[in-house]
Amino acid sequence: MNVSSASSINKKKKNYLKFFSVAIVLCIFIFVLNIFSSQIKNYFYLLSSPVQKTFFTAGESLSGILNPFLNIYNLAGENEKLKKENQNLLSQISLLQATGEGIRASFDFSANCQDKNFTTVMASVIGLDGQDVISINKGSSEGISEGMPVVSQQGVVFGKILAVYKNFSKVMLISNKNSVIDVKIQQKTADPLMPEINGVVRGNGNFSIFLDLVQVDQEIKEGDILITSSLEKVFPKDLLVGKITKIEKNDQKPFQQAKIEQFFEVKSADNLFVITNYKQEN
Amino acid sequence: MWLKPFIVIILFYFFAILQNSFFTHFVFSGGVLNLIFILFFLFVFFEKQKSYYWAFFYAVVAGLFLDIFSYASLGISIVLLMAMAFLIKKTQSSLKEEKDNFSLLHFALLFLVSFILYSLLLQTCIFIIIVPHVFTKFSLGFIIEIIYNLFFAVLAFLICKKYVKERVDTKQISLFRNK
Repeated sequence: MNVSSASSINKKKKNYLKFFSVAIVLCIFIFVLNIFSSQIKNYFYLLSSPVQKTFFTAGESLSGILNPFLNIYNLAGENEKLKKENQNLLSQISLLQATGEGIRASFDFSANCQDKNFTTVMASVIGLDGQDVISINKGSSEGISEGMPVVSQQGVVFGKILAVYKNFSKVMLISNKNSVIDVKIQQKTADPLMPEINGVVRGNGNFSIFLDLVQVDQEIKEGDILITSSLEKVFPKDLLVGKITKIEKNDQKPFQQAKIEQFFEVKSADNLFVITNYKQEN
Repeated sequence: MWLKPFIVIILFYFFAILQNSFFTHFVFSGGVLNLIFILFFLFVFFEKQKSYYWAFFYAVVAGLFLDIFSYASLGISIVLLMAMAFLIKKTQSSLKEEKDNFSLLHFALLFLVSFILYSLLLQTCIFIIIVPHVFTKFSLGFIIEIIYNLFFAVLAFLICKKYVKERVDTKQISLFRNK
């Protein structure tokens, strides 16, 4: 009896010892990994980037073929074209309303950048992380640093630089749950005497966003366009964010919320622009 | 002896690249396919019972690739997947399944629980400061993500089971012949 109990105690002790040695080795391993974290990530990026690019293009082509079958109501190509056209028109409206100019014929983000002395770095999307974070193929060697705004050619806000490595960067999309940006609501029937309506757009995860902190007494409508207000000094003002689709008003709450149809679309993002000197400008 | 770990590492690396490039274009309502997790789960599920060392090895490799290709700090997924591997093996041994008789129901249920648990814990670890985010994970997109991943996992399970069954049959035939 004593012998068996002694052996079981010994066995237990051995198990604990094993567990603790594994835990210690694991802690040291993780600690060392984190010291060289950026080098490891950059090395793997460099190693896998040619294959990743090939697969990315293959996926793009296949999704282009499959999309019409998966969604018979919307022919992918036409839809894409219309969306881009729509975004261009919306940016024209927002610019005309913001500046009061009625003669500007076309608006292009690159032209707008020149007006505001913005320096941009063009980058391509190379990957996607499940947590609303994308990878782009430009890094610190191109002058990119954390916090820089990322936009599309049409002037649609995508997000900001979250982490920078030598040859690539991670972009936190505005749909990431940690993302909050200040916006102003551009109403369809804007009265110049009406005060400006401001709010914040929060990330909801899974590529969705919502409007928050709009005072209950302020009137917003479905179809109103949200543009950046640059209060938080991360994004330049008048960039497109999304469109209000459903207003959620509750008298018991001091603020109203709204569902937003976001304008950014990762799948169709051919080229993105990182504004490298916005913070310095402000 | 070195062939198995080598193949495992290569497979995980290949799946990590595939997940981060090819399947980027196949996101449905925010539902993303986690190929590395599916592969990890399959390896652990079909590994011999009480074979904890191999299960932990899969967890380390899978976790490392998950962390490398994400913006999370290195190590989060390793620790979480090690916990998952331990839970899967413990549950399997408590189910007292007959040797090499893997049921689809057990697989699907275990996968569901592990996937949901892993996603929520990862969310908690990443957004540790903002706790309410864990609760906002329960959305339509998350449900679609679960179904999307479950579909591919079950598909892979059926293929693997067929391969495992064939291997067992060949073993039994050779044993019978040796007698």
